[in-house]
Amino acid sequence: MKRIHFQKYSKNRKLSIYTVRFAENTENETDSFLKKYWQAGFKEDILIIKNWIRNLEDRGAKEHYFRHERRANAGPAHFSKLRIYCIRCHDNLIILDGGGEKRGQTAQDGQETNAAMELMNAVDEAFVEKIKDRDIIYSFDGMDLFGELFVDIS
Amino acid sequence: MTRLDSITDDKSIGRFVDKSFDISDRIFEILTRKGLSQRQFADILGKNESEVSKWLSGTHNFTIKTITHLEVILEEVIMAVISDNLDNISFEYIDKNPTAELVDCENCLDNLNVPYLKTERVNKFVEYSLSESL
Repeated sequence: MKRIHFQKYSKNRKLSIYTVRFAENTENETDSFLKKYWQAGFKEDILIIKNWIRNLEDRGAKEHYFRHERRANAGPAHFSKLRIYCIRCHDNLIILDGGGEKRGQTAQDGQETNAAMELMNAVDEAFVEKIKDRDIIYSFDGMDLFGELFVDIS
Repeated sequence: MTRLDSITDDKSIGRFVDKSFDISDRIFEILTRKGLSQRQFADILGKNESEVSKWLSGTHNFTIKTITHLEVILEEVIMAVISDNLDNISFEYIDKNPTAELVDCENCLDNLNVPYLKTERVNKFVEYSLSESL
């Protein structure tokens, strides 16, 4: 069983971003992903992701901006050799994970993209259960999460 | 501060991504206004729905040929370029948008120092420039 915590990453007028962190780690998965690939030389791809996220913050996380991979969502759909995974709760809140280098058309073609996609699918399933049980609740405007901000996944 | 904040941005990449989102949002707005689903639009074009979905993702590198084709099919301006010959490119679209609101001049004029107009303001800008020249 792994415990995964949700922590606030950023908040703008149109979008709140949470990230995920494994209980045993000090760094969240998003920063870990960005650091790893920046150091590996994927600078332009990281800059594209930075600007992709900035546009989500400016415009809201509209459904058509994402590539849907079962329960998880991914982006940027094009331009970048990297793909980052998330749970899109609604237009104004996403939970961001890490990701990996695209190795083919689907997440399954790459070990890291597949791991990120599977993680986000499992996290989403557990997250929805917590929402149903009201262990996690949204703020009135939907842009903040309160309660038990973690899930346990096998 | 997040690691994302600590990464120094690149203006060219920033503008490239912004423009791609602008184009996608413009197409999405036209489809919504016309009541066309992605599937219906794909059928009109004889394409797969996944192709339309790609165009609307905000991260598609459009060719001029594709944009022009979509403009013809949708009968709307998606993207325009500032030109000395602006009047000539505008009339066709003015006729189709007789009720376009007159201008937020300041916003339009702000865009004159770049070689590319923000897409959603094109009709307003064109109408403004014509009204000024009459």
